Amino acid sequence: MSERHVIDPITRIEGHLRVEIEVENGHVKDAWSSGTLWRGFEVFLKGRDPRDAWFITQRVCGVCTEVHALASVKCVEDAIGIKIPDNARLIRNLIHGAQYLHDHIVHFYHLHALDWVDVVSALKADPKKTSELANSVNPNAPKSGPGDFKVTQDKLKKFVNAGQLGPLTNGYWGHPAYKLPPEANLMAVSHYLDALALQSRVARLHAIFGAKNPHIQTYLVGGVTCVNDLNADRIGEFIGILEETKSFVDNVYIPDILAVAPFYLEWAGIGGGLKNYLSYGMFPQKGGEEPGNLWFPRGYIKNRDLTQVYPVDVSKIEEEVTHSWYKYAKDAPLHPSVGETDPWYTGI
Amino acid sequence: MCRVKKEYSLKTVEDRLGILESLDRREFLNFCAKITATLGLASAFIPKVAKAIEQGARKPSVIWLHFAECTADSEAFIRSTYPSTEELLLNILSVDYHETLMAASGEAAEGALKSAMAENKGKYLAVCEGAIPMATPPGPAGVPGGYLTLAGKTGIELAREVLKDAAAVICVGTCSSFGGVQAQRPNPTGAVGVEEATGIATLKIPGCPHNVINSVATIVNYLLLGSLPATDKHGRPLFAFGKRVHDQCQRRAHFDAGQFVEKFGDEAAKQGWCLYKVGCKGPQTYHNCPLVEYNDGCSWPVKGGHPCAGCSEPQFWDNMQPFYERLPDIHLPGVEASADKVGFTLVGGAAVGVAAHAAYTFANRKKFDGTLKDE
Amino acid sequence: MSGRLGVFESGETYLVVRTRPLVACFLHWVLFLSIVVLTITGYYIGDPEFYYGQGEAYQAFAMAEMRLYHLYASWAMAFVLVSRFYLAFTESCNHDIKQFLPTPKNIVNAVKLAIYFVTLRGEGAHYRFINPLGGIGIFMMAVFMLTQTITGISLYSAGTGAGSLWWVLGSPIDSLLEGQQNVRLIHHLVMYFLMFVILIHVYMQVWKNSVFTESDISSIIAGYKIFPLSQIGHFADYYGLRLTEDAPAKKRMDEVSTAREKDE
Ligand code: HEM
Ligand code: HEM
Ligand code: SF4
Repeated sequence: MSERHVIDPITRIEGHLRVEIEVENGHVKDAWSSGTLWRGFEVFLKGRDPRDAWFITQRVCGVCTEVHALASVKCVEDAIGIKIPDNARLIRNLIHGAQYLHDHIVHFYHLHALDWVDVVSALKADPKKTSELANSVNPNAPKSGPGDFKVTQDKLKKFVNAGQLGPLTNGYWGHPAYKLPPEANLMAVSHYLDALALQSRVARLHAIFGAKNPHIQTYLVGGVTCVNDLNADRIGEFIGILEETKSFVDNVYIPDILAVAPFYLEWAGIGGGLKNYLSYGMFPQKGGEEPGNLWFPRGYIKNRDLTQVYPVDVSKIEEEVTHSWYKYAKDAPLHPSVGETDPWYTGI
Repeated sequence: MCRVKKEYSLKTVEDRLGILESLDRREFLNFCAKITATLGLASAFIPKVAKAIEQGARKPSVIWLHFAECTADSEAFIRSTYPSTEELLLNILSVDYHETLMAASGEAAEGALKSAMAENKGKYLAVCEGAIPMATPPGPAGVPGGYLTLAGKTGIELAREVLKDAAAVICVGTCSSFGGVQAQRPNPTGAVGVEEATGIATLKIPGCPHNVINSVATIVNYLLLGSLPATDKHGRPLFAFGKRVHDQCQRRAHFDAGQFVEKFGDEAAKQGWCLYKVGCKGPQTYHNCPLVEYNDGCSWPVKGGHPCAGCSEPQFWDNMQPFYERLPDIHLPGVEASADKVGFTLVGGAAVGVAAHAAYTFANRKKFDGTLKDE
Repeated sequence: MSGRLGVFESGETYLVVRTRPLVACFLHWVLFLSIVVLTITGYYIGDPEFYYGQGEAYQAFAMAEMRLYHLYASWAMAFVLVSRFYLAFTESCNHDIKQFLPTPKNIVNAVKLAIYFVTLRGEGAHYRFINPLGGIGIFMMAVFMLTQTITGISLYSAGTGAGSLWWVLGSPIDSLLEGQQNVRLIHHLVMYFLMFVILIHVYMQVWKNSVFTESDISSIIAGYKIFPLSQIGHFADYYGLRLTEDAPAKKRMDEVSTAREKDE
C-alpha cells in the first residue's frame, strides 16, 4: 500500500515549493515537486533598456543575491562585445567569491542544519563533553570551552522555558531521524548562532565593493562603478573580514561537517538526481578569453565521475515544458534564446 | 494611518529582563542609541527605548508572510547588527512563522501558523514580504491569484486570512509595499502591494530590499509606544522616508557646484562627483540611505559610485527606468521615445514648418491683397 | 475704447488704436525675459552642459546658481501670468479675455485664419486686437505656463519636507502623477511644448508685421496699432468700437487735423 503526502510549504528555501511524495513501506516511491510562484521575469524584461537588465534580473533571488546580476550583465556584455577592465574583473571576482562564502554558511547552518540538528536535544547535553567533542574534531576550535557551551545551553533553556518557541515551533524535535547525540546538537546550535552573527559580517564584504547586501548595486554593463572604494581602507577591511570568515570556515564549518557527516552517512546516497552535473564555470582569470580562462572551469560530468570533464556545447541546451505550467506553440523543446513564455496553469 | 489595536499593551505580567540578561549591556545600550537616532528622537529617549525592549512581558508574536518575492527582505532582516539577529529573532520578537527560518515544513508549518494566529489573535504583528498576484493564470486550473499558491491557498486568500486578525501589518520591501519588480510593465501576474490587494492599511518600509535598521526602528517604535510610527502619504514611516536622498547625499556639494560624472570611469567618477547626469534618482526619492547606509553603515549605492535607482518609490521599476538616464521614456500608443527626442522633434518640426511658410510667403508675395498693404 | 486719427506724410489718414495699456506691454517683455531665463536654466537643470563648477565643490555653485535664477524667473513668470490674467478682465485691455478663450466662435475663426495663412486663399479677415488664431496660441501658452507653475511648485516642494506650505501645494501633484519622476518628466516635456508654441508665436508676429499692417509689433511695445483708414472697413473683430458704423469718425478726423495744424 502506498500513500501520498503533500509537503507545502517547503521551508528554509528561497521561493515557494511544494513537494508531493508517494510512500511505500517507509520509502519514497515517487515524488513531484512544483514551484508555486510565477513572476514572469522573461515577460517584463522584454523591451527594457539592456543596461537595466542585470538590475532587474538580480531580483530573481535575494538569498543567492548578485549571481543572477552577474550572469545577466555578462550576457549583455557578450552580446555587444564589451571587454571589461581588469580591475572590474577583479572586483567582480571578489564580490562573487564573497557570495560563495556567505551562501555556503547560510545554507549549511540556517537553511539546512535544522534538518539534522535537534535543537531541543541540545538541552540534555553535557557542556563539558561538548567541549571535548569540539576539541576532538578540531583542536583549534574557537569558543569551545565548557563555559562557552554552557552559555549557549542556558540561553536555549531560557528561550524554551519562556514558552515562545518562535521559529522552532512545531519542529520535529525528538524524531528518530535526528541521529546526532545531544553534545553534537549543542555544538551545532552554538555554531548556528555564531554563524548567524558571522553571516552579517560576511555580507559586509558585498557592501564594501557592492554598496549593499542583499542586492548589490555597483555592477554596470562594461564594468563596475566602485572606483572610490578602491582604497587601502576598504581593501584592508575586505581582507580582515575575509580572514575572519576563512578562520570560521576552517575551524568551525568544515569540522562541523566532518563531525555531523558520520551520523548521516546513508544520506549521502539519497537524492543525487540524474548524477550528471553541469557547470558554466566562474572566476575569469587575467588574460585569455572566456570560457578558457575560468578558474572554475566550464564542463559537465557524467554519472558522478569526476575524472572526466566533458566540454559544454551551449547550443544543445533545450527547454522542455512537458512537466511545467507552460505551453509551447509547437510540442518540441526549444533553445532558451528562442524559448517561449506562455504560462498555462493546469493545477496542482 | 495604521490600524493598531489599542488594547494590546506590552507592559503586562511577566518580566522579560531575565531573558535579556544574556545580552551584553554595553552592546545593548549602543543599539538603543542607534535606534533612537534613526527614529529621530532626542537622546533622552535612549533609556526609554531600552526599557521598552526590556520590559515587554511577552515577546510580540510575529507572523512573517512571503508572497511574490525574492527573500531579499528576509535576508536583509537577518543582517541586523544592533541588536544582533539572534537577539532580534529569539529574544525581542517571537518569530512564530517565517518560511525561510522556521524548522517546520508542510503541515507542521501550517500548524505553527494556525496556533500563532489563534493564541495571539488581534495581537500579532504581520510582516509581509512580496507582492500579491491578483491576475488569473491562463489554463484549465486558473483562478484569480493563482500565480502564487501556498499550502494550496492562493496568496491573496492567505493574506486576507492572516492579516484580518493582526494588530498591525508591516510591509517590508517595495514588493509588498507597492508591487515591486513583478508589477512592472506589463505586470503579467497582476501583482500589487498588500494594502491594495487586501484593503487593509499597512505600514510600508520599502527598499529593494529594505534596510534592516528601518524595520528594527519601526518595531522598536511599536514596542516603545504601542503604536506604529507616523507615516507619509504612501504609508512609509517619516523617520526614514521623510527626506529625499538628494538632500542628504554626500555628493550633494558636487551637484550644487555643477560637477558631474559624465560617463562611468571618467575622472569625475574617480573624484566622487555627482551622479545626476548618469541617471541618479536621488532627487526623486525619499529614503534615509545616505544617513544610515547599509550593512551596519558600510556603504550605499551612491557611495559605491552607482546612481540611486529610487527603489523606495512606488512603481519605481517603471517610473525610474532607464536607470542610467535622468528621465523615463515616454510610453504612449505610437510613441516610444525619450522626452528630449519628442521635444526636439516637436520644436524642430515647428522650425522647419515656419521656415517653409516663410519661403512660401516670399514666393507668393504677389498674391496678397494689395488693398490691405501699407504701401 | 476709442481710436485716434492722424495723417501720414503721404496724406493718407491713419487710425491709432490703443490695444493694451503700457503696463501690459511691460508685462509681456518681463514674460519674454523670464521665459528666456527659465528655458536656459531649465534646460541646464535637465542636462547640465557647457557650464561646470571649477575648483573645489565648496567654491563653485554652477547648478545652484542656475536653480536660483530658475526660481527667480519662475516668480516673475508666475507674477506676469496672474497679473495679465487680471488685466484681461479690465477695460484697459478691452476685456480681451474673450479673445483668448477657445470658444466655438473663436475656433471657427481661427481655423479660417489658419487656412488663409497657409494657403493665402479663402477668407482673410483682419482684427484690430489679438486675432483668434493668436488668441488660441496664447491660450495654449497660458495652459503650458500654468502646468509649469504647478509642476514646478511640486518639484520645489520635494526638497522642502512635509508640512511646509510648498509641500501642501506640491504634494497633491506628486500623488496625482505618481511620483516626482513623472512630475519632472512633464515639467521637462512641457518646456518643449512651450518652445513649440512660442516659436510659432514669434514667427507669426514677425510675419504678420511684415506682410500686413494690422499687427504692428508696436502693439506689444508701445501698446497701439496704426491702420490706414482705408482698411478699417475690413476689421472682423467684434470688440471695442466699430469704427465703420461710427459716423463721428469723420468729426474726430477733423479734430486731429486741426490739432496737427496748430502744432505746426
Ligand atoms: C512657476 C514656474 C516654474 C517653477 C516654480 C519651476 C521650478 C522648477 C524646479 C523646482 C525645478 C527642479 C530643479 C531642481 O530641483 O533641481 C525645475 C526644473 C526645470 N524647469 Fe522649471 N519651473 C517653472 C517654470 C518652468 C518653465 C516655464 C520652464 C520652461 C520653459 C521650465 C523648465 C524646466 C526644466 C527643463 C527643468 C529641468 C527638468 C528636468 O529635466 O528634471 N520651468 N523647475
Ligand atoms: C521676440 C519675441 C516676441 C515678439 C516679437 C512678440 C510679439 C508679440 C505681439 C506683437 C503680441 C501682440 C499680439 C497682438 O496684439 O495681436 C504678443 C502678445 C503676446 N505674447 Fe509675445 N512676442 C514675443 C515673445 C513672446 C514670448 C517669449 C512669450 C512667452 C510666453 C510671449 C507671450 C505673449 C503673450 C502671452 C501675448 C498676449 C499678451 C498680451 O496681449 O498682452 N511672447 N507678442
Ligand atoms: S549623486 Fe544623486 S542624490 Fe547625490 S547629489 Fe547627485 S543627484 Fe543628488
